[in-house]
Amino acid sequence: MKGFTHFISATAVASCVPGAAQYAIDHTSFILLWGGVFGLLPDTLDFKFNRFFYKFDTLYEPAQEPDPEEIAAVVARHIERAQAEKRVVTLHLHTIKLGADLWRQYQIAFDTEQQQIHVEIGPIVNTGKVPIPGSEPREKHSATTPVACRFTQNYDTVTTVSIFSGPSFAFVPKPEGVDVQFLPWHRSWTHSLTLGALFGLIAWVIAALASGHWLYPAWMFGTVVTLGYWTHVVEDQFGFMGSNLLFPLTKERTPGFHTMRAMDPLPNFMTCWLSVALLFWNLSRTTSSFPQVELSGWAYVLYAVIIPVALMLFGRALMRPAEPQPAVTEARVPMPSPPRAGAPAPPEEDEEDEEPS
Amino acid sequence: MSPVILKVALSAIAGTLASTLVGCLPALHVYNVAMLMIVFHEHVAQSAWGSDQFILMPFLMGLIVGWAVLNTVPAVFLGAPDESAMLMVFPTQKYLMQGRGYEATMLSGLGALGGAMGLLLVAPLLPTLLPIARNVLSPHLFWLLALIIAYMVMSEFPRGGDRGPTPLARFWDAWKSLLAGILTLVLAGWLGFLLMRRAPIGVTFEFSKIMPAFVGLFGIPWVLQNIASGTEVPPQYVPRSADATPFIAFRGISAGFLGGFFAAFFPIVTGGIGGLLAGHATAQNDERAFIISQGASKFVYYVGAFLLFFVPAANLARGGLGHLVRTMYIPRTMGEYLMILGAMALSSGLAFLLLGVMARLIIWLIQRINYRYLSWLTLFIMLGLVFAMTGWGGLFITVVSTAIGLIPVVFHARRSHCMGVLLLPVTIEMAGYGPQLARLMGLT
Repeated sequence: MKGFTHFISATAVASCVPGAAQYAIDHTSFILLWGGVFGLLPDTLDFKFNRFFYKFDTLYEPAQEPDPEEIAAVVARHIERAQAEKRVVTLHLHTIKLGADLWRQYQIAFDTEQQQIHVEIGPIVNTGKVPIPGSEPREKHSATTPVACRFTQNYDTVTTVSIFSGPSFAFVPKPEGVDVQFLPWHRSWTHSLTLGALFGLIAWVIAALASGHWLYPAWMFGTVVTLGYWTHVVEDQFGFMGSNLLFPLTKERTPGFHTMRAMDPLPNFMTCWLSVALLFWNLSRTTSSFPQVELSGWAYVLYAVIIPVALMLFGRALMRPAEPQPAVTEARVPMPSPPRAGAPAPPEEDEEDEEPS
Repeated sequence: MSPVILKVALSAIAGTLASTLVGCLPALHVYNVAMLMIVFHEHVAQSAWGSDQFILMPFLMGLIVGWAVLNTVPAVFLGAPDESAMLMVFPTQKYLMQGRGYEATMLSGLGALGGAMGLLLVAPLLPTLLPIARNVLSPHLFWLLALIIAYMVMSEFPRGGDRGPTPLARFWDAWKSLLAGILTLVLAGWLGFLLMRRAPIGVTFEFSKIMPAFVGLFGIPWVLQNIASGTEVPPQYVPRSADATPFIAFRGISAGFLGGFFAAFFPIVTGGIGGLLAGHATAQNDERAFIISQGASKFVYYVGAFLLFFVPAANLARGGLGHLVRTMYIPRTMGEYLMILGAMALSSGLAFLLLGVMARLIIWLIQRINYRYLSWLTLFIMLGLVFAMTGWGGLFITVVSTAIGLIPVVFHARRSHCMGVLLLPVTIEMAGYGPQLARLMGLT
């Protein structure tokens, strides 16, 4: 999900901790803020720290005039190497920067059924991912290379490489073939429930030392931090990639439920809306002047949750046919044609948590 | 048509027409003009023509509606945004460079028109809901503002940083821009705190204290960038329709409406912050939807804030105009609320029509005058207006804030960190740490 969604939903969940909202007013405390901060922390750790210190076997830099055959071969050979050497092999593909605001786009498709890698060189795009008309390569724009061993992939079958940073892959040998893991440095130890519990414990101890009492209000700080962190991990599980939920007890990511994409507007917006409704309700419990109108909990649920959600779903159903279909949704699809100006781009290398510029 | 309705309609139309000049001149903020209008009304119009204060309200509504819609023109074509349009400039400048400046302007106008419709739709609910929302949220405001600051800092992700000989080199490469963003936020906040506590300018209205800083933080860096880069604007074309589906328009308008309304309702939260949050809340990854959302957010922020002033029983003065008007006029009846809603609807339609006219006019202008000269002219107009309104003190503030506003430009950090100029000091004051910090800074 988007960072904002994690942030606001974690704050809302934190506000459910009994007494926390009241404590915020009574002591001019920023306690609920910590829910939001720790709700965004897993991605902060990954994108601002973890990714830079992750070790790669190969950092591949495509040429300014890229050769699709070479790129496909590099990917295929790394998969085969993982199988042959029986160890995890990691690869990072760089973007192709042509100027201050110009990038050459290319796409890599993992065809798990035909066991081959397909690469297509796309148009030149600007930093807004808008293609420059007529910039598509005229010759040698695609290539397919077979892979000499079985491989599996449970994330997007097509990865688009365009601006800023390129994608990373870990090729993990397994009995059923080499597992292609997208962004291996992401959603690893940072996205674990155990780390959330540890942070909560630390917050508890710090709050206890600061307040001089081991129980109140220290337990609230600890719970707010843990719940905020857990909210992020649980929400991410609804996507495709999943998380390493019980690190260090578990070593790999548990695959996600595949119910939504991180960039889907409706799930993001709906989660935000429900979070704000929950937060408002919890805050309203702290003020005596709230019941200016007689509103029971059920009436609030009806007006603030059920009706708006129904309207959103109805609006989506009404508007959806006008929206272009996603370029790539399933395995074994041919390469999508370059998107027209402003059209939604196919999944980007770090789309799961990418922030708009 | 009754004479009163006619008077209201004419007054709203006059305000909207007046806004064509105000909205298209960079740095001339509507609040400054509204302030002059109120003074003029108090001292001249009332005594000369016996004009009722009541009739000034639709004029001011027309003025702010027109400004919220038409101020897109300098933001798109001259790269001189005010704070609430700041986020819009990056995508619209790209449109401009593709010869699609007119389209970008009209997309923003479409957002504004959608924002007006949204305000009309929620208007019947506001008298019931607003007092509740105010009572619930007021005691929590300090940490809610801190929440926004925390999000602004944490949500900036590094660009690049994947090339470098060592992990540490890559880490540093990525963190340069992040640190520059944090530095911008802190410096802007520091400046804001200084201005609130001891501004080096004597002004009548609070807004004038912050106006020179806004011009320096948000407007001048873009213009300087245009001058330095020697931008040459390609020929612009005027399409018959905008490239946006109903779904994209709906997404943009709904996101912008929510962000703008959030900003209108919360003190200190501005249209730019509202637009930023709205974009993130709806996962905007389409430039068209983004531009539409920014147009809607800006409209709902400025116009909605003034509209809240008229909501019966709410007693909310939000935004600069509400605070200015409160000194002379207090609306009390449902009739006044309906009158101002009518004025808003009329002005919105008119302003949207004027937007197309003004956009064509400025296209005509920029295709005849060298863009770099036009950027210099924009810069001089901005500085001239700051000097005229706030003197040497204001000019000094503008220079300092321009230096701060240039940090994110140079280091490719988020420019929205400049919003710390209001967010940081107000959060500090609301949390009760203002006096201590002022003592620490030697301001007491």
